[in-house]
Amino acid sequence: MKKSILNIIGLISISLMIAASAQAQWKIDDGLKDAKLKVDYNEDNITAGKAIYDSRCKACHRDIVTTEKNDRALPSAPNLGNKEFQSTNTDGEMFCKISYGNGGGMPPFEKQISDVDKWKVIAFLRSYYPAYKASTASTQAAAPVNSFKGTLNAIKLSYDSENNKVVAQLSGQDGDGNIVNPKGVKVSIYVKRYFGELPLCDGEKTDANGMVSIPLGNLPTDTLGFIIVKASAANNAVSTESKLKVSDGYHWKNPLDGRHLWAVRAKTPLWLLITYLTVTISVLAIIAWAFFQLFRIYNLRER
Amino acid sequence: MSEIIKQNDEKIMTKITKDLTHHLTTRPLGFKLWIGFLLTFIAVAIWAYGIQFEKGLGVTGMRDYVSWGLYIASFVFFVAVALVGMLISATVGLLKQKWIVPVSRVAEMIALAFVLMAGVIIVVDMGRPDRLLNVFIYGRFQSPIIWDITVVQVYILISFLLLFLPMLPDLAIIRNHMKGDLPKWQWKMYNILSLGWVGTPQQYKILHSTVRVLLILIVPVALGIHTVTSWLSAMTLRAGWDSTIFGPYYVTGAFVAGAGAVAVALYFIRRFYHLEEYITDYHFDKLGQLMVLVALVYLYFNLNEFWVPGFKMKTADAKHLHTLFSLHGEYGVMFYLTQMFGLILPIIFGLFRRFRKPFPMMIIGIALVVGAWFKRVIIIIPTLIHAYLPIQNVPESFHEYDPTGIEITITLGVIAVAVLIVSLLAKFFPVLPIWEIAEEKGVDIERDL
Amino acid sequence: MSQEITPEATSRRNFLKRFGITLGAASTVSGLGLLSACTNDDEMVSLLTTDGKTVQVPKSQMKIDLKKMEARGREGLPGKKFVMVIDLAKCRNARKCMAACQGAHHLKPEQHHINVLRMENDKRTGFYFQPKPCMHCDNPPCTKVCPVDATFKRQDGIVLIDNERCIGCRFCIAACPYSARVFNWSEPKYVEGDDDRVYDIELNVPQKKGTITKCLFSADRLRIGKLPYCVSACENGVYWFGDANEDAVTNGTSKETTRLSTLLEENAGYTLMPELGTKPSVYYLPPKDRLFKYNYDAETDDWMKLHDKEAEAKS
Repeated sequence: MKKSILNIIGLISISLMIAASAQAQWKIDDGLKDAKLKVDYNEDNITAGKAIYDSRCKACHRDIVTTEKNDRALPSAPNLGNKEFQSTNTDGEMFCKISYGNGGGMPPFEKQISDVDKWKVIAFLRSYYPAYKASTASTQAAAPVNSFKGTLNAIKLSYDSENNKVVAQLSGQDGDGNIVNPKGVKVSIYVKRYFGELPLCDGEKTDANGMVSIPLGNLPTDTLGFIIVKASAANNAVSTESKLKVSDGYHWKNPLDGRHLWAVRAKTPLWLLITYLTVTISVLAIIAWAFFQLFRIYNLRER
Repeated sequence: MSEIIKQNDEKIMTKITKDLTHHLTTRPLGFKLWIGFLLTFIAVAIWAYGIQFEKGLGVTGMRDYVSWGLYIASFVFFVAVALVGMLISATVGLLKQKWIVPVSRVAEMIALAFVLMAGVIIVVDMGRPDRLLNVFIYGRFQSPIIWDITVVQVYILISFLLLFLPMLPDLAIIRNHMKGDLPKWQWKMYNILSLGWVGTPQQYKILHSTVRVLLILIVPVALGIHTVTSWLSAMTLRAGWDSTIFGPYYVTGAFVAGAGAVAVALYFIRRFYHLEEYITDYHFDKLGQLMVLVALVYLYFNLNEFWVPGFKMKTADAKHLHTLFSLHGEYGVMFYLTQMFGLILPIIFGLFRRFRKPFPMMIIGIALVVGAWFKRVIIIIPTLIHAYLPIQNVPESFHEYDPTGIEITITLGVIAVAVLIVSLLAKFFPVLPIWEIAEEKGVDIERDL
Repeated sequence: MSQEITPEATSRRNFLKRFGITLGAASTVSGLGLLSACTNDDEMVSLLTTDGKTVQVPKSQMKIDLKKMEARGREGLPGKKFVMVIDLAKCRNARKCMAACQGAHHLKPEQHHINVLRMENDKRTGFYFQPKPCMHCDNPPCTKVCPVDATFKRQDGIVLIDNERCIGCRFCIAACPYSARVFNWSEPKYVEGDDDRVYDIELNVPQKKGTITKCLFSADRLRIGKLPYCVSACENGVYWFGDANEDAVTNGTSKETTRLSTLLEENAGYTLMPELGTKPSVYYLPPKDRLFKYNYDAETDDWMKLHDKEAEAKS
């Protein structure tokens, strides 16, 4: 039964999608048809594009995987990492598709995403397509990337209570085997929450001391003042998870401790309980007295 | 001299006793047919309830939005009619109005029967009647339902006492004078129930003081029972129920219904038991005046209940009022008919002495009682039809309320039980207080019994 | 009451504990493997494990501690305050949430723990879709009126129902301004295996005739650290769910986690009918900058008609 409900909903969505794709039309502006990426094709823009993708596109397009062809059937939106899509679309065509949608499954993002951000998204998409050639101007600009060329040994987390910052310290060796503080390595730090990991930073680069310090703000801790922090560097080359004490904790007050009208019987507000019992018992006592009078009358019968 | 008085007293006493107890000895065909008719109804209702018990409340017209229907409306109706016991015996009685002497016992009989059925129909409305005991095991003092159950039980006890206690001397009279006229079991019943009443001054003293205490006690309890019943709806956030005057609105409405019920009962008792000499035009005239008075107060509360939100027309209230006041609204026609026949016309006719006679009063009484029942339907159901959020993704039947045959049968069955109880009480017990009427006619009852 | 509350403390529990079941000595020694090897003619009982697998356990070998389960279900998870954020801009009426919910809780097509409503506040303001679960109010009108403590609020903010105690008076339906409660008017939907299942107060399964049922925030899933059924089923990123005490909510679709306070602040979140003073735990983000045009055709999209058609196709 459960399955069939899901099935029917699936069928309906499919038929809706097919109906939608029947009228689906991509609108491509002539001027943009052969346009190239209008932002620099570098890591910063790719990272920025990823953030936009995550919030705007990922809900439908999911995680991107590099494949030969689109591996997702309708009604799912296509996997944009497929080579067929990447090779047949110019940057400009992608831009138009994002802007205008197809009047069907793909909504228009013309106003929701700014033009610069759209190009950044495209930069991010292109990062899954090794054959992609950006224009000479932008590739030149993309030259300064990860500056550290050695191997990473470890990443350590600590809490800087003075500045209320979480600090990740990287250690590594350079090409010659010397112990150094790796500089310019991308670090991601997350705080564990009940259902997921809350990013404190995503791809922040280490400074000259091999450190990344992220302000913690007023992030709640557990009642004892601990948070669990996860950190990884250079695409999980090294990672760690630590429990840091970052505050004095707080006193958790059980909302059920008080007496409320909405609470269970054991937590009846006292005034209500006393009123109810007093009134009820008094009235019942008078009634009991009345029944006793019946008994008295009976006792006075003719013997 | 005193001998003459005594002889005279005895004569009067014998006549009164004979007149007022005659119906205990007879079993006319009409009565049997009437009881048979009610029992048939009840039997069908029990069968219908069997189906409901088996299949669940889905056999009724209630659904997720209109989740309270005829049962709860009838529950409110029963409680309302039951309030007449307090109105007649206590309020008017404590004001020392003489005309209520032949009326008060009938009022108490109606009160007891209807409050018992209020308890029954609430169980009928439960989705899990098998878990009735949970109410007593897990009862939660914050819930208006628990207050209601408490106060209904208390009212049952007080109504019973107020019916039974003043009847003791009458039962003793029957026991003493009618042994030969009655079947053995019936006489035995009176013998036991009279609790060996001999009418000593001490017994009278106990009787008088107890009844007086109970009459005072029943006033707050009766106000309580109907106010708490009104809170079942008024304590929610629903437009149409979310009202601060619901307590007095219900109470005055109950007085109107009760006055109507008593008028009807009195008329038939007077007619079938040939008590024209005891229940006179005077009584109906007074009852009519009382009815007009309470109906006017009720009209005043109606004005407040509808005009105040009607002036402001808040979104949800406006929707609710449209349901009632627009002839295109779901309950428009019913609303106008009910207000007209159940309130306005009775007031207008009741203002004229010529309509405060037995027969017109009976007609007015029926209009009031039927109107009272429909008014309860109008109070309970239209509010539920319009939820705050749209009703969507549910079958058509969820959008409105159409009571099913089973539901109507069960409701009528429970009403039939109430009528049956009143009929049996009025048949097997003196409907008018013999000793009080004798006292009224100047017989020194304490000496003569 | 200064105890440490960490996600681990509550998230990982074996399935036996989850169902409040204590097995006999034999089974605790060698686990379930031994039980399946039992050769006596015991009646077998199916149990659903946390990862959705069904296991067969002989009835005599286990003692189902309904009371214990009920006590745990009534208590809730200490230190938590579950909240839901519904982003109306993203809802396109896919109704995956409704379907997943009805499947998980064994509901009939007309019974909605969560219902996607087509809303129109004013003729000029246009339509939008609004999923409507139970608001799990902090001042719940429903638990106020319950005569038998059958509906109650837990320390983690969830309002639950005990179908083993409910007397079916339906006062809570009348009291709820959000129409969040539904009733089992007749025999509830039967799902294979319902007979043998121990009643789970955190799942309201099996459903019981003559009692109330409503959204539970999937309390059974929260106990094991998973997002509610509806939240996980949504494919449009409508739902955020999390713990207000941690100030974090996780999106059911993208699994992205964000600060609750920021999300509500930046998007001007609101609650439904705040004027009623119910203090809901469900927040809405306004339907602005919508990606999808309002698209609803009563003829083809009618929920009940779709189910009628399905039933027709079956017969």
